[in-house]
Amino acid sequence: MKDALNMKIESMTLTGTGIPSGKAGVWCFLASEITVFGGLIGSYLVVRLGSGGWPEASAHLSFSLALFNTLVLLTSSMTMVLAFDAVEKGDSKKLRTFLFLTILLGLVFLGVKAFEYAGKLAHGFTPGAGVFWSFYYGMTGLHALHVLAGVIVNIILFMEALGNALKPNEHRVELAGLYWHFVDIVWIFLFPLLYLT
Amino acid sequence: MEGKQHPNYFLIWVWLMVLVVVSVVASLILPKSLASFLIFAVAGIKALLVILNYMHLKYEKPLIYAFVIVPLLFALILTLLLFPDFVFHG
Repeated sequence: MKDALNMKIESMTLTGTGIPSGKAGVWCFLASEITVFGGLIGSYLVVRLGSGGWPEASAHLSFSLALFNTLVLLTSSMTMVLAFDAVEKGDSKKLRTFLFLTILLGLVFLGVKAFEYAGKLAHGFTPGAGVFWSFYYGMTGLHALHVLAGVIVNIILFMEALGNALKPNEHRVELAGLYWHFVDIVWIFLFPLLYLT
Repeated sequence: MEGKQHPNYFLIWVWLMVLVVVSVVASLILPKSLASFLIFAVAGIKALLVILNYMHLKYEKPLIYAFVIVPLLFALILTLLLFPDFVFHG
């Protein structure tokens, strides 16, 4: 029993830095994610600024759907952080509620995105329709995959919370939240880059 | 997160919503270059609000700041190094 307890403490503390190892791991992962999306956004900027006249293709994008999705994702960040707040307060009912709302909002985002893609594809705007569309599908597609991954992680946490299996590992809600907020921040930049300017 | 202090999460959400409205209005009424500048400034503020408050960066140790700032610098350098070839070509 004592050994098991010691192992648990070790797995949650990074010797020397004082940062729990799980949290340090997620931030390390996010650092690599910053270079992935940073490189993608950087190349979009280079191509866009370097072309004589950027095609007005973005006028074909649905501004209202993107605005709706922006509000959905920002709100989901709040529900996610409120789930973490519930963990801190030891309120498992609130934890389940806010995890569920976060999952729901993530699914709404993906549903709207799928609807948007279907509309564009039906009008012939495929990923091969031009450089703007390659970037559009590349950036929003990679982002949507990240949202999907976050939803799956949240569903796993939610299922565990339902069965009270989450109790010993509740710090995972904070770790999943870090990832979820990062995905939100990526959208904060994709929205103006593709839809507003 | 150290200690029990935490920001007002709902208030941060209200600010995020206000900033979305600001950038949308800017894109509709301002001249293009001024609007772009304002929109990306607002996006930066929104990102800071999320990372500092929702990701609790403001309560974290300097090492975590390094995890954010170093890759951002690399991405920036990578982008700027491409400018002479693709953007400043007469």
